[in-house]
Amino acid sequence: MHQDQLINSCLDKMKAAGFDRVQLELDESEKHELNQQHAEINLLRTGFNTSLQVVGIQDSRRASLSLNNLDESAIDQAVADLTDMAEGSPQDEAYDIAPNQPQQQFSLGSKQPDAELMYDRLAAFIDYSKTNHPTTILEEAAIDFTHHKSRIVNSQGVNFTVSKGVYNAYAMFTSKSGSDTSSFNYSGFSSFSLDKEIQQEAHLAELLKQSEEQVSTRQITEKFNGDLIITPHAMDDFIGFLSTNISNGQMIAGTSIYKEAINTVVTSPLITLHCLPASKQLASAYPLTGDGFVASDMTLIQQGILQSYLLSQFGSNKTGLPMAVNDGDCMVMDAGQSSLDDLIAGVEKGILLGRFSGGSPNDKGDFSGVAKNSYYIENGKIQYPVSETMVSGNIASVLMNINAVSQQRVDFGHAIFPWVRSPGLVIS
Amino acid sequence: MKKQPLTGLVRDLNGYVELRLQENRNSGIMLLNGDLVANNKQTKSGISARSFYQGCWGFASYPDASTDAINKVIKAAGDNAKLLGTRAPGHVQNLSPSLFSGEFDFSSKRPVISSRQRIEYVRSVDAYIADKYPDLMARRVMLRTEDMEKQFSSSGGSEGYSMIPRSMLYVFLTAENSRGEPIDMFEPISDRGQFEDCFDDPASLHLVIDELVEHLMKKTEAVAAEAGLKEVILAGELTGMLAHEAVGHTTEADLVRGGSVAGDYVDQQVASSLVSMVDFAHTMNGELLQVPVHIDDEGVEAKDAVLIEQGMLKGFMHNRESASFYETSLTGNARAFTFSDEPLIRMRNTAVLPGNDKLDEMISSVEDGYYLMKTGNGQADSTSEFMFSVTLGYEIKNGQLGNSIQDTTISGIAFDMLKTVDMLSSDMVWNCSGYCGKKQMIPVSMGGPAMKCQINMGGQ
Repeated sequence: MHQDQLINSCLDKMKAAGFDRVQLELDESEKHELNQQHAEINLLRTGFNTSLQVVGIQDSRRASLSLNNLDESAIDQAVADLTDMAEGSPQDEAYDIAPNQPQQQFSLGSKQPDAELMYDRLAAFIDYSKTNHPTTILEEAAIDFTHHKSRIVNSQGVNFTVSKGVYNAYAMFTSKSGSDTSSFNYSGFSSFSLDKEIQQEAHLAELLKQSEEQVSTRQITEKFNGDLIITPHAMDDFIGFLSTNISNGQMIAGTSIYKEAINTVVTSPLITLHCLPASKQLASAYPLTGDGFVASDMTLIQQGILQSYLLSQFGSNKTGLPMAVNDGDCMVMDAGQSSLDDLIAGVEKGILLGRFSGGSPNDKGDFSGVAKNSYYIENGKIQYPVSETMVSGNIASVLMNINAVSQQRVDFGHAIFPWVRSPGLVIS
Repeated sequence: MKKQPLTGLVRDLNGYVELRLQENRNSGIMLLNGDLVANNKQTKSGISARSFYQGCWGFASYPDASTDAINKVIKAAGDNAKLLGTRAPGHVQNLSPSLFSGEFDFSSKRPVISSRQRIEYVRSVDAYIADKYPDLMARRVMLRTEDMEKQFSSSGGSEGYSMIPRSMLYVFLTAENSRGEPIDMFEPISDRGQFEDCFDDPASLHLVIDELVEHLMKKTEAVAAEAGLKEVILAGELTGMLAHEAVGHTTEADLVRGGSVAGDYVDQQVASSLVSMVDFAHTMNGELLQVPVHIDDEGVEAKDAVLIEQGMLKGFMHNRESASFYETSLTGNARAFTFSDEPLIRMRNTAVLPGNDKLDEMISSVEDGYYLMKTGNGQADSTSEFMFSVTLGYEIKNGQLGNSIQDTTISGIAFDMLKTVDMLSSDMVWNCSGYCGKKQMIPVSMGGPAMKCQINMGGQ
């Protein structure tokens, strides 16, 4: 069935079933992926999918479903299922869909992959790793091109089309020397093009070098209170706590430690953090929110002061607080004034945190976990890679106490982060 | 899912080809402080083909199971394999042979419960909490169900069908401590089966909820754990997580080939002689387990993989390619998450086998340590260093349970830590409430008895 015909037919069926508000997203995707295992490009994967996501509100009762079988009989069953699900739902005036907005089409990236270039980049990366880091085993590496074409339509006249094609690549690796093995490490990136070699992206060249060093590790000699330098690779674990706590779940529940924090200090004044889905600076850019509004860029934290929550339309209606202009992610943290060398030089005793492996922090922000791919710093110098080293503290305090931010940053395609330093962690 | 005549389509081809028709059906209902914040269903289905040529794989998938779509994916997979194989042949040129067939359907035979009735069930559980414990800061009750239905056929002659469902109910509770800070805990309740087979009378959950609240209230007065190497009793839930993270991942053959230390320790003592660990395919002591895999997604008969036997590392988990590389027997560990995913080596039901001790005697034997009862997530490493979170635990002082402890993380080098195990309880606990993440998610179950050992604690 033609796309317009399918969408109109589904809208009509939903209205006929009694839904007064309906949102549809029809997505057609195509993925081409090359996989490497153990230095061989040994899997080429091609995948096609079409999925329809349907949200229906009937007398303030909401239900949603998604399916990828788009036969008429399957759509009819989906409408029947939604009717059954909505009838069981309690009423809530907070359920809603986006109002009418001017129709728009958005286009990001290419529509087709450069398959030869994908192969060449991956082959060159394997070769680079073998030549420069012979003791490093590339456990997994993959490069893919994924294209989505989406139509977002609702019963209030919303009608958007989004076409987006992105390259994604990642590598996971371990080094071995005799019977010594390093911790595995990984990094990846998203991009609209493959202008650079893979190892030039996402700090991979440096991480591969570090992996070789990390076959010989030592435990720290005693528990201490010290500084933590959080690398760009570990930043998501810390920023993620804050963004989760200003989003729907915690804010609606009333358990967020940031629940009355707008225009108050939530981090060090050295931190300015933006969400930039509309700027196309990042390959993870998105033109629309999940609710069907056109997404805008925003500064989430301005010199330590919280500017906005990350509430959806439902979260805004439930809490009475403003809806966010985007869905978060696409995070870009401003660069600082200090060089990375200066951050390290300013540490009496501490850890350069390459990767954090720990449990999810509790609602207060308390966390503890293992410092992976990390280094012990003493008297301003990196001493040795560590093993069996735990870091414990409180994430809200870590963010508040940041006392240095690096000029250097790493661009992952979905985020751009610098290194930051924070004191007062328990390292054991 | 409507089955298709895959056999006829895959037989006529040259070279090795697999066809897999798969449908994943998921549903979710969540109440947050009594408000319905999630009420959704997802169905994802389609056909995939995988072809092997000169040591390389080609894979293609399509969201349609028509004959035309099936022929398209077979051709695309074959073209992909030839493209790679002619450019740079792979090291493993031959796959370990396999021929196995069977049908394994674990659908419920009971009348279907409607969405409305499921919502009523969740609301009933939520209402019990709200009525009995009105002073809680927040509560969330979430019901999830998942069916994975697969039909498989290969040019090697294997044929299979499986429908493996599971259902999970999660209760998340938050209370306030004396400083007004939120203190949280959650309880996952999960089992093999569709909703109709797993959840009957909401009142049957009341005792679990009451115990959860009791622990939560004690946790509002929790003290920080002391950081460092400690003597601990791990409850069965944590022992299962240990089996999965600390040993399971390091013994997946693809990770072994990728540098895991387990590759250096075959037939060596890696644990105390009390410890035996198995990745069960589907049955333990005659009882069907929570993720029963009889035929994997390469058409291989699924067999138990003995990982550790009385402290000795014995073997790994394999797919056809790794079994050929290591010249060893197949175990049937290849599974794919959705129709558009290729099969990877995945765990199934990974467990430490029980011992002969009693939990209360184990606790009494600890002078200064901890009883660690609940976990949230975990992670493994090539070095066999493991980590997992502890969301409920108690001090043990002079053989008695003491204060609750705040959330913490435990870690260790598995093949060192396991040598410190000196007691194992005689009972077993199984859990299938989560997912294992690798390149793809996959449902798994993990199990074990209570275990006494020495472990690194995070804390103050």
